Amino acid sequence: MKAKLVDVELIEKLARLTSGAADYCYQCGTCTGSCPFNLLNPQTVNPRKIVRSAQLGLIYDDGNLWYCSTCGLCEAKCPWSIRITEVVRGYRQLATEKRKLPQKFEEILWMIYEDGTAFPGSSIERAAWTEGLNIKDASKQKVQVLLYVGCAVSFDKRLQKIARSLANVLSTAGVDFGVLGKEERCCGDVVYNIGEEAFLEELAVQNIERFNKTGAEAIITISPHSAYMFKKVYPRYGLKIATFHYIEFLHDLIERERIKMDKAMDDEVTVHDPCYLGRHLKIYEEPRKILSSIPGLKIVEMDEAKENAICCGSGGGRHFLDIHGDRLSHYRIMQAAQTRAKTLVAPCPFCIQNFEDSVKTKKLSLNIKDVIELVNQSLSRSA
Amino acid sequence: MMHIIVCMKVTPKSEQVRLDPNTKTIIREGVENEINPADKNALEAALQLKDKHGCKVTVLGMGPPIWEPYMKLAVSMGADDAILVSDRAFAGADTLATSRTLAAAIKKVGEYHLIFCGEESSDAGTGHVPPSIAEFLNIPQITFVNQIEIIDGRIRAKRVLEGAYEVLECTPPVLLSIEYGCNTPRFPDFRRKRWVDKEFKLKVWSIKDLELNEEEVGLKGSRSIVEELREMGVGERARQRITGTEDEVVAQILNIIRPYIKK
Amino acid sequence: MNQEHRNIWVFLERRREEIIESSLEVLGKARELADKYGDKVAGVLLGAGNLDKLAEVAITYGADVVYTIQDELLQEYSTIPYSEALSRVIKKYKPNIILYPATRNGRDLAGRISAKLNLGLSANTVWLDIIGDGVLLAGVPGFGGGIMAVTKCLTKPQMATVRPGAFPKPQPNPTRTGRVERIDIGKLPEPPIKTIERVFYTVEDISKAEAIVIAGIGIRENIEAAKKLAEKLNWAFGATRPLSDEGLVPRDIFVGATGKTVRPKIALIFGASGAAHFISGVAGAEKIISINIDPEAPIHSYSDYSIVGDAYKIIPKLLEKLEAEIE
Repeated sequence: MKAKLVDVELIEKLARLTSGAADYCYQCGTCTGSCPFNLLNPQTVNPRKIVRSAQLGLIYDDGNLWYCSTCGLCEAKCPWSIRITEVVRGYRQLATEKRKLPQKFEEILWMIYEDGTAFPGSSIERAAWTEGLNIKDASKQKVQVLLYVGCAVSFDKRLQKIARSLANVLSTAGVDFGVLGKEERCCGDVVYNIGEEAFLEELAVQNIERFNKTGAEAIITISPHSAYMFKKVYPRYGLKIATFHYIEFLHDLIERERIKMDKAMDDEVTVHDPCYLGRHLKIYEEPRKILSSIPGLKIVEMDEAKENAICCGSGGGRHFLDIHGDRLSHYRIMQAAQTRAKTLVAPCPFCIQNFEDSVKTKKLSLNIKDVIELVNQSLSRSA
Repeated sequence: MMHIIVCMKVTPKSEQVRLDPNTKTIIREGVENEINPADKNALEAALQLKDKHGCKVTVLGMGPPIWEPYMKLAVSMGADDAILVSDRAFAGADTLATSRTLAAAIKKVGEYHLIFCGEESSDAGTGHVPPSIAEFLNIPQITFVNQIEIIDGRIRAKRVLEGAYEVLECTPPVLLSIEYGCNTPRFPDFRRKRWVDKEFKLKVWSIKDLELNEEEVGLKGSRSIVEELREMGVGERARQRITGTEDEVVAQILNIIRPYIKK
Repeated sequence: MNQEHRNIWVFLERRREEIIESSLEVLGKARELADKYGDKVAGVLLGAGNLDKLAEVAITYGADVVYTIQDELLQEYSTIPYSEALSRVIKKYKPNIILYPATRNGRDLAGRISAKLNLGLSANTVWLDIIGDGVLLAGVPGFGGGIMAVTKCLTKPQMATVRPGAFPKPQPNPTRTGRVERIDIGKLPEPPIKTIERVFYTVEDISKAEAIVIAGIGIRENIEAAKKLAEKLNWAFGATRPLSDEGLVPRDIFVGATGKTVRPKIALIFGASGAAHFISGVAGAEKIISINIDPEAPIHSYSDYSIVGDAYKIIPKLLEKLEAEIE
């Protein structure tokens, strides 16, 4: 076997791209051992190997580099809290620079560039969900709070209900908010996770300009992925407006008694912690506190909750990779079904899409809801 | 080094186009444009040959100044040069006048080996411009190509027909029309795009730059005209809703289809 | 009638030893148009061997005369010999109208002739009519099939390519008479293009189907079931464009504006939303039954019978019932 020379340039480049994420790993393998994708198929994703390759300056061109959903469970279990997902992204950035990315992702990038959405849909239909509601057009008038809806919710009929519920609750609470509607464009979560940095910069700068024009003092997002992008990634491109995932904002509204929930819901629910809300943004308690304020609602926890939640399978661009067969969301809803709960609550559009698909496939009679939908149902009409 | 000229058209996004029922004209306001999808495949085919053999790739389009960002996007994808042939005189052209104009522009470009076109455009979808350009240039044509190779300076192309395919060979110059969807167009290089947006100068030619007079181009040079536009009537349907339990619905479907079941 | 330009010509495209269906469809429509303003229909047939037998077939489908051009360079379609041969006879005989099937070869040829003889050309027409003194009006679909432009040629001969499946194939009449005229067009130029290989394969042409099951993106997880249903019923199987784009079905079975146009007696459609470009491909069906889980999908208003339901459940039940019946 021929010995390979260590590629120092590659080591340094990856270290630069990932801010030295791979440095302290001592190869214990806990990450690969806990990767949820390996539950479905052993040897699917090998985080340990990816980090080791970065330390040694080896090219990582195994196709399964793209199977990682950046869920961060490996990071949560890692004894050194190595930022493994950043190493994954670093390698993806290198691959994308050389145009060595899955074909489907190339098509998604075009769609985001040309149509401003990662989900099939025409930009002129983006505000279709607002029909009949009296929601301010933030592209035409100033608003105090900008509600960023996101691609999935804008175009999917099931997910549009989440947007309507949230809009109703915000109106009831007297919040001065608006949406960009047809002018809204993809937050770039998929672009970021594919590693297409140059395009992300253009996309982010254009989005920030749109947000600034609205005069908003705060941005609320429906998707934890968008929240992560605006909170953690966009500041380096100049975003100065404070961003909240709607759960944070809602929690605050309830604490300050701006809304009241008085319709009892006699139900037991279980809570799924979306990867990008929980592990990546550290928001675990607020969804539970909100649900606890709904009269009659009881929460039972699933196995593997909070920091240990099993990914639904969609983050990191994985949502768009057509991999048939067993899905992580099938596994997760089985865990939900094992509790006594009739409803599985997940404050993330991707999670909801996956869980809805899974209950159909597995023929379970489990309701899938976003937190806001339950809040909206319980909302008092007298503000 | 081979020079490939790729003809490009910018078309409105089909799903956004509506017909104004009163004026019976296309509502252009608010409709977004895109590079004609098949032309992206044509450009990608040219760029793949550039990657492999080091060809020069020039994109050429006939259209209004708003096409500029799209022509430049083609350069961001990897094209070496871009030329926009733009003049009020070219407006209203049918496929004949368009082809004549593009052929004249190609002659002005000078030396070329290959002309690539998308098989058809997403708006009119005629597919007639590529053969017409080839005739005006008096060069051979191979349409509906989905694979290309350059072997010893000769072009070998796979041409796909309905229920058949041909592998054909030709010495340049030759025009190829590229099958929609035969490859995955590469996403533009956004680092290159920063340079293109700031520094690249698009060449813009008017009728004065081409060896054509006003009677040969645009509406005046057209030999077919559009009399009127109509919404495609798809005919009225009975629209009967079938409801009931799944078993009832299935039974009703069977009743309807039973007479058509073939043994 | 304009004395200088007379007759409606139809380019009779061949596939090996047969005239293709699309040309026969065009022949049928040409007959109808010619009868409307009192003119004759001529088929134009190019080939290498003796074309008389084939010419007789064309006569039974409505041609009054069939011009045959025989040359060994015309054995299979090739642009330069075919366009050169056709343009010579056009210049000599001056037809009023020339119609081509909008097949790939048809469009390759028509586009070349248009530039060669400076003639206006209407493309991919789905509607044709004659007004006045033999003036052709052609309906050209655009923008994915939602809008039709009515076009007119300003030159003679007026030319149009006709979308396959837009018009029905006429019933042949074996008692029809006509004449076959062989035309000598002189020497043809050597084709600059060399054929290395040519492969024919039979493709189930769904545009001829009398009954069809069509699968849409809504049943992408179980296209097999719909296929099985088609087999059980002995119907053709088609799909919508998104399934073909994703590579889940072969490209030549997708129904739509840029795919196949079907004119069956009955179409059973599962999980298609009813986008304009799909509808334009299936609008010719006599009866349409659609199943779609979304009550607001446009397909419901384009159907004769519509069901808001879960195709994933309905198809297996249909299969079950069918199997029980067949026993």
